[in-house]
Amino acid sequence: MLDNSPSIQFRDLVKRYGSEGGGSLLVLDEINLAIRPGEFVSLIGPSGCGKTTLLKIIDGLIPYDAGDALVDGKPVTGPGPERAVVFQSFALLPWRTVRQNVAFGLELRGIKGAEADEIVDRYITMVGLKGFENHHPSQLSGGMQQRVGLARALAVNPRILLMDEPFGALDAQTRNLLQADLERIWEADQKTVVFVTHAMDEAVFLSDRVVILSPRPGRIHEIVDIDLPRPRGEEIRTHPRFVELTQHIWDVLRGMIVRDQEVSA
Amino acid sequence: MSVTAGLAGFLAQPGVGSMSVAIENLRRNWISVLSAAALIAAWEVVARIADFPYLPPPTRVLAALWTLSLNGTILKALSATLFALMIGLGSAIVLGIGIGTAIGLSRIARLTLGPFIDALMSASMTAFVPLFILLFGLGIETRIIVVIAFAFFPIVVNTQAGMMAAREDLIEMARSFGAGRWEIFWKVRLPAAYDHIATGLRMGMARGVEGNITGEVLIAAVGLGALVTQYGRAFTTDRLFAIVIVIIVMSFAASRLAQMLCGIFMPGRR
Repeated sequence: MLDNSPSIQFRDLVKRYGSEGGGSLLVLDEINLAIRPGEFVSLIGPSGCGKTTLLKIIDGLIPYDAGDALVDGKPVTGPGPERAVVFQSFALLPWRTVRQNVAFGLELRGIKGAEADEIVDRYITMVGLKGFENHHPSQLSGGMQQRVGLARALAVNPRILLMDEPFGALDAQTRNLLQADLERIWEADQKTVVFVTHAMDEAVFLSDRVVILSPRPGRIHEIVDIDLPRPRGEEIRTHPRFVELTQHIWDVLRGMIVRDQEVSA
Repeated sequence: MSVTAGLAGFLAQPGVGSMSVAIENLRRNWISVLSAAALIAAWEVVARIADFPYLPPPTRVLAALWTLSLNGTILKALSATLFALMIGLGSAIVLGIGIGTAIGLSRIARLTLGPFIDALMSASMTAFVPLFILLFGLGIETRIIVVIAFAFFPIVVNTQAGMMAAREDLIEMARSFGAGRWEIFWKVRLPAAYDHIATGLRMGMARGVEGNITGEVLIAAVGLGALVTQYGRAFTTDRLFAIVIVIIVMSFAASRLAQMLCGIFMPGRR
């Protein structure tokens, strides 16, 4: 039963931001989308399309104005234990070690002592940070810091992983490595993932579906099925279908960006 | 990434990290020690050559310090001074961190108390001492209040700045993991304010010692302040400088003590 009902669902979702002088800015308009349990969905679109806003609405960090945002069929009213976020800025506590950062979510859920230690060790190993447990974030590269962010989110064992441009601040090589690692981790225990990104190849590499949003107001423009085989290794990046899908998404986005520039010019 | 990893691995080897730190410390301290020694030596030479009566050479100051320590003068003065100082500094820490936290976190507290604190912070506290005497008399209470008045402002202002310094993305992260207001305070805001609060305490303690001496000079001739007045009037500058050294040491000790307290009472930082 659970398998047929969507993990995340939006029905006619509307989000406005109040602006100075009483007017309001329509950020998201008529969003309708259902995400299956275990599905990997990317949100992509130009700046101003509201993709990060949509992600934060799913996490319950910001409210919405009309329509429904449902997680496991229930309206979102705030953050919940079945969801965890990986942030673009990594959002690591600089005074804590890697181990203490990974334990942060567990701590808030009251999981302590040997049980927490065991979980923390498992995820530190999974993201490839063994040996760096007692380092502080400032001693780590950007890629390693985001591995800590990923381990922290995975450690609370969420059913839904929300990723807000997690690799956006990293260089291209590091980004490719982390994409591959994320794909491997996702294959192991298929969580529902919503992944916000600017990068088309990243969206194609990781996703089951790519949702293309158009800006001002943010609307769903097109949903692209990524019918590439899994598991996906590095070689998939040169697969003709991979290149074709990436090209298609770029064509759609380029159209939007060009139009956007003409409107504002 | 590999460079960081390599460096981190290198530093993680037993002994390597701590040894290089020790060498680094030694080098830094050597410069300080050398510069202090040079200054004192220059002072000694200049004071002896010029033979200016009010600039005693360091050796004579040390001799005075020795005499005053042995005959119990300093100990007696310290025992009178320290009680009011400790009570005053303790109260200033509690009030400063408490009110600074409130102002940092609450808009209403900021709007109501903020302007007074900003105004008073730039006022000369010494000017208020006569008012305190009128209000509270010549007893120890007034000296305690002067210590608080001096020490409070650096603590409150820095605590407030610290509370407002927590990064928004860290607070959002904590919220996302289910932290409530209270948990965000203990696990994010307070640790993020640690450096600011430590700075505030360091400055506050030094100011508090200054206030303490000011109070002892202006309110009632007691403790070290009485000695400052007495030796100043008698132009026995070697003794005056000896007391100044005691005051500096006291100020230093108060700062270190406050920082130790800061470390003990700030859970979640480590």
